Amino acid sequence: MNNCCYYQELIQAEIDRENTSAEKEELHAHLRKCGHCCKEYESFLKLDQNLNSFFSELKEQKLQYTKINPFKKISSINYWKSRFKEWGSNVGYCLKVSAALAVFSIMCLLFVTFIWNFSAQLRQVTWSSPNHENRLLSPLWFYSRYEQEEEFEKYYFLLFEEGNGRL
Amino acid sequence: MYYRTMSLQQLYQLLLEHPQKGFQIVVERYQKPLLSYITYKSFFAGNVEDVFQETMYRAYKNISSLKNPERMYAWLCGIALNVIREYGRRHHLHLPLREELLETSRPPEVTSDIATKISLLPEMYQQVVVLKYLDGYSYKEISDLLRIHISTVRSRLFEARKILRNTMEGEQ
Ligand SMILES: [Zn+2]
Repeated sequence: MNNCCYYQELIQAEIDRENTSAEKEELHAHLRKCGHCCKEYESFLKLDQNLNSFFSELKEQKLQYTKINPFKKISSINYWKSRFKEWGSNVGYCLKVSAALAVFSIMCLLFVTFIWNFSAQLRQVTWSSPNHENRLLSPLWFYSRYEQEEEFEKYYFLLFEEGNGRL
Repeated sequence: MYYRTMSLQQLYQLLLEHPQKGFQIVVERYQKPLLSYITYKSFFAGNVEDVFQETMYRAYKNISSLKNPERMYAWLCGIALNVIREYGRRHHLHLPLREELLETSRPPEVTSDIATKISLLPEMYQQVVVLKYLDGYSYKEISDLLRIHISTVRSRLFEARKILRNTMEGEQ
């Protein structure tokens, strides 16, 4: 009986087709003379047939799933993730561009102001002319408005003096 | 070629560094047995494709929760099992999982079904049985996949068969 334990293992391996030819021969030699093991072998063989018939049904079912794309769901999520990233980077790009544009326009404004003031100093002589309308077209006319008024008064005052008290 | 032969530790490292690339190898390695496992587990529900996609998605998303790369296949099976249970609850399907069957006494025509008998086996026996019969894997291949010794594979199969045979003989 102790010996039979070893053959039980061989019976399992025989069913699973894992026995070497020597083990196979050894087992069958034992089966011929041991009724207990022979019965065991038959019962396990029957079970094996039952299992095989059940699983062959499943195998057929499984065939229809062999073409499943395992990345279908993953890639759909990656798609939205990448779209979101793309969108995020676009927003970042837009922000950067608009910040750059803002800085650039502030610089331009400062530059224009500087040029305007500088040229205004150069043209100071012409300011005393009555044709002062063009000065109001300056983008920064509101800064120099007070100054203009002062100039204007000065101009009329000069005229007043020149005309001996008559305008 | 290197990717096919890399160890589980190397694969795990790749997964952490390049998840997409690593996951492709995981799929290449485990798609076939995992699909079999899900086909078998969804035998009563029949929503294999949904379960498979969801399992793959969750595995990809939660790859960092895999602590022991040696148990990669078992981990994937665990995710699949959770997904199947959730689907069962959501769609009010009765999935004769082991715990449920042990709790309730099913009518005899159901228990006489071989699928139900297999689902009554402990989970570790079921895995081996499915790999053996549905995928036709050898002892060596099963031992590689489950990271257990060949003698353990053999003894689990033997135990599973003994239980199945005894329940069948008990009915007759
Ligand atoms: Zn014997």
